[in-house]
Amino acid sequence: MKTISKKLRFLITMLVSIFAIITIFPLLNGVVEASAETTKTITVFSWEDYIDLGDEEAEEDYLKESILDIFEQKTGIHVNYQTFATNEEMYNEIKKDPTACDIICPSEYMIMKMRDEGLIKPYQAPANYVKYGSPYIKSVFDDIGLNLDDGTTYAVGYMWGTMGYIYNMEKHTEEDLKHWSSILDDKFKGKVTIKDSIRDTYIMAIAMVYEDELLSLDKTAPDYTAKVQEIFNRAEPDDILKVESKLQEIRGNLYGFEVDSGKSDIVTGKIDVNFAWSGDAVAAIDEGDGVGKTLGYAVPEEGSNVWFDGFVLTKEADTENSLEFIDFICRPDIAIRNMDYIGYVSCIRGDEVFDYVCESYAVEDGEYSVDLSYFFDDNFMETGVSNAQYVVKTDEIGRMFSAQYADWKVIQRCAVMENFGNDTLVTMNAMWSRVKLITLSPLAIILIVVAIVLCVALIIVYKYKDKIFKTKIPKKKSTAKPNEFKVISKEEIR
Amino acid sequence: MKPEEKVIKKEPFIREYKPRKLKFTFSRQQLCIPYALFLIMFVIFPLLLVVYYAFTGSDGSFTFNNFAEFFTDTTKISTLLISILVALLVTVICLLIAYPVAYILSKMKQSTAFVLLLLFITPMWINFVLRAMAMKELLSLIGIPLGSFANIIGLTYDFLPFMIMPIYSTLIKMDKSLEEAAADLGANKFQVFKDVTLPMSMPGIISGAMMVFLPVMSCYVITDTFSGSTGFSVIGKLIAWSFLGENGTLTNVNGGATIALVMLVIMFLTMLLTGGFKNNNNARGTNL
Amino acid sequence: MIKKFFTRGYIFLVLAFIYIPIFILVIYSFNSGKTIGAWEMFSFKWYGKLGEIGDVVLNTVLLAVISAVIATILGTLGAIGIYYSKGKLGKAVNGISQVPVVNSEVVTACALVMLFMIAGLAHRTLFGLYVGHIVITAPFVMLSVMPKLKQMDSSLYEAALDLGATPTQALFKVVLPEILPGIFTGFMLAITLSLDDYIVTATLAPLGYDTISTAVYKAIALTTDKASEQVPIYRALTTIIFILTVAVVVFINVRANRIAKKRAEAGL
Repeated sequence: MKTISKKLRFLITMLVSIFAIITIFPLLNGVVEASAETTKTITVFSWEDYIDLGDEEAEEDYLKESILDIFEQKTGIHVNYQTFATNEEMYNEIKKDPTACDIICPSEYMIMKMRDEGLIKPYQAPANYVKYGSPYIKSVFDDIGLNLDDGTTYAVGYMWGTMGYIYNMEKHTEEDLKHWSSILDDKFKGKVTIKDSIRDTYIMAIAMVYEDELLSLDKTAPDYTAKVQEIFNRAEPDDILKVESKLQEIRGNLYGFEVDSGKSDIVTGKIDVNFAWSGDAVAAIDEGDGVGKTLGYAVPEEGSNVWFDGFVLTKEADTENSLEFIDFICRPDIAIRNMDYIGYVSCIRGDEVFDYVCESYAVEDGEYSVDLSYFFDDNFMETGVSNAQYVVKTDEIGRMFSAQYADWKVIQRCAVMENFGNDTLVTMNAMWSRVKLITLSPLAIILIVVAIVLCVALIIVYKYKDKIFKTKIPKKKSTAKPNEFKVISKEEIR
Repeated sequence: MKPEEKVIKKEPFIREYKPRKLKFTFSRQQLCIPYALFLIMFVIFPLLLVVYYAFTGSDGSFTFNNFAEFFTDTTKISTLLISILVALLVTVICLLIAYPVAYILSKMKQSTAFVLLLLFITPMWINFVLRAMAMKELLSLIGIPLGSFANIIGLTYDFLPFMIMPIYSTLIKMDKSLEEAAADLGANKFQVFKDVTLPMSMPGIISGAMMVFLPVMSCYVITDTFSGSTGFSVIGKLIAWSFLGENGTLTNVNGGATIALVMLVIMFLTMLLTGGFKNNNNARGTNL
Repeated sequence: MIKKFFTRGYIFLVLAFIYIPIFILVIYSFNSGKTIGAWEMFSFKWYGKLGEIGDVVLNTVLLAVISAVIATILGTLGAIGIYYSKGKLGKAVNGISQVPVVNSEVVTACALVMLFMIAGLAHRTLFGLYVGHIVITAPFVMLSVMPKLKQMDSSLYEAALDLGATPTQALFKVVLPEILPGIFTGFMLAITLSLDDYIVTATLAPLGYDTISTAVYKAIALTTDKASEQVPIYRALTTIIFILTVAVVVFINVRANRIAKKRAEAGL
């Protein structure tokens, strides 16, 4: 009887404690996470500062309000806006928890990767995107296979742009940064930052590796863009090795790698050149103007990367509410607000957007005229005929305007970087860690190993010196000292 | 059981006389069950997983490949060696700075020493990363460039208080008469220090060193802060990289587990070597 | 005399090494400008903006307090259990407790990631974060309660039982008060450890959940634009934390002095 009750008690304690452990935490989860929402909620996983969250210091009242709040007022759907710093960070999160969010805003290659892995689902593009989405963007999405034959699409374009150098115009000219390799020049030593991302840096390094080939291409040939595309997407093991040595060379000339500090560093004058996305260039130039610093943006001759960020829906997403959100974001007036706020260029076009562009940049007697018909004109893609209506005269060349809407000539030499296969990525990863970390020479490695082994040996000898002594020295002498230590040190431990 | 119940029903007298109350009692030993279960679930089992993943490939089959990959990758080996070296260096520097401090304090009047000691450990309550930020701003103010030197300063700065405490507490608990006896027997001051004080403060030195050496190897927060583009980093960064996939890299759980296992082995060897297992006298535990 | 001069000088130098960076932060937290080294004018601007990082501070404090409470309960129960269980079981649990103490946080955190992966859970949840923090703090609580148990007169418990107390009563009324100082130390220790932690939080915290450590890390190591805007606010926060700790330390010191004096007087 006694033993049974004892066992029973033991069992009960055990069950209670397991139960306690299991229940306490989810409860906590609830307490800390604040009360559960009764309203409709969608979670958007996107880049930091990638939507107009309202500017408290704005002059006009409507600019003070966050886009997300306006959306909530209009539809009653609450948006939970979460941010990531890199596509890969986002990918890793989604891979571990595919239900973490409804809408994600990754870049084109990541969209392709997630499509291939079945992490996202196609959907019917909302009305505003069908109506206002730029034909240029849609055609690129066609090219990279994001639009399906049944009229659905994996992604709706949000923002797009190029990559290039932001530079200090007071010290350098566009000519100084004509090539990607220009930053290897001594005059830029310690004055350059580049993205802390394997992919972005790969673009600039591969352009340097194949500089001659890229420059020798015939720019008027019809397959010019395709050829540029092919070169930028080279990732054979041999290419990766070449890129590695190029990156090592670049690293020697850098101020540092950065995730998101390039803008402020170039405005404050810490650095003179920053390898950046065009949208950050716009923000930096704008900010620079505010403090009286003239900055410019250049896309090197060899060509560059053109990128797109688009909205995708995760497998488990709440389609109806998510589409409501995407449709809202594609409204031209909302697109303008977002463009204005973050400096990137929306994939939305339309008269309203074009008027906004002209309002911002057009001048009557500008020296240059820029052909934007590829982006705005409805018929351009089919006919190849540019429409004179969409030519803007401006003197903002090489600065904000160029960073926002590149001329067709620039766009022609810009390639989409595709998603590399997994094996390639593994090789690239290893390459990247070699670039990022210090690699010692074999001699140094051997020396350090020997030194560490010596250290360890010394400690062992010191520790067991009593025993070693015992074998050599007569017993009388040896016992007193160690014993004394042992007794005391045990006390000390307590 | 059934017959027994019947008996009770038949004789209500017994019920009245000896009311049975369901009372929940427990023995004191059983109190540690929740704690033990928690540790098994969240410490032991995960560590077993580390071992499991370290020896399996991405397809789940048993393999030594991860280790082969790790030990042939010169970059990873370099990082491992650099972190061991840096950890040793920082430990030695901390010891060289902290020992005299603790020694001087232990010789002072108790009340003065207590106030000074508080001064030394007060920064420990300021967040670790905030302290790193303070040091970084000082370095940029006086113009020391980011890199390995800045790293050593930053690491020393952040870990110094952990070294002072345990040494001080062993010195203060030490029997002072031993030193006097040695002096009376004709030892000079240096001999007293070398033969009496130093050996007796060894437990403090060891636990202080443990508080510095092992954390430094994994403390990538500091190296990320102070390295700039010099690529100076510690092995902890590699582990975090493999698990979190930072900076556009892929996650590699098996590779990460391998490095984690290597770290565990190093930790185990260090503890074995210094007798740290017997020594619970940790710096944080003894503050105030 | 010279020796005294040298020892004082040395102590002063080390204190300077420890405090100069903090003082610079404190001074520049009152600067209206953003960069250190360029004094613009005295202002409380950054203190006014402390609200911006309010949620970060709240996250940190909530996490520290809640996980410390759970860790204290678990750790104290563990210590009592281990102390009274004879033989291998107690020793084993005691040994396991050492693991998170000496293990590096990266390994602990990443091992937990694997556990959650295997269990099919997302690895970035509040649940995981709290578990992580309790894993690194509970053993410390256990280790600070244990010495008090060992110091305790073991016959007290038996005496209470003999005088008619139930085991529960004996535990709560006799054992608990005896080990209370240890529990308190353990609790404070758990809080400081949790406040100080970066790696476990960075690995296990849900997205968008920042504590002071992770937020400052983003500001100084990753130097993301938005985060570096907040660096001056963190200077203000450091100043406040510093002043608070100094106040607490002074308070403890004064109280200790007073108690010592009273005792001395009583002794006389």
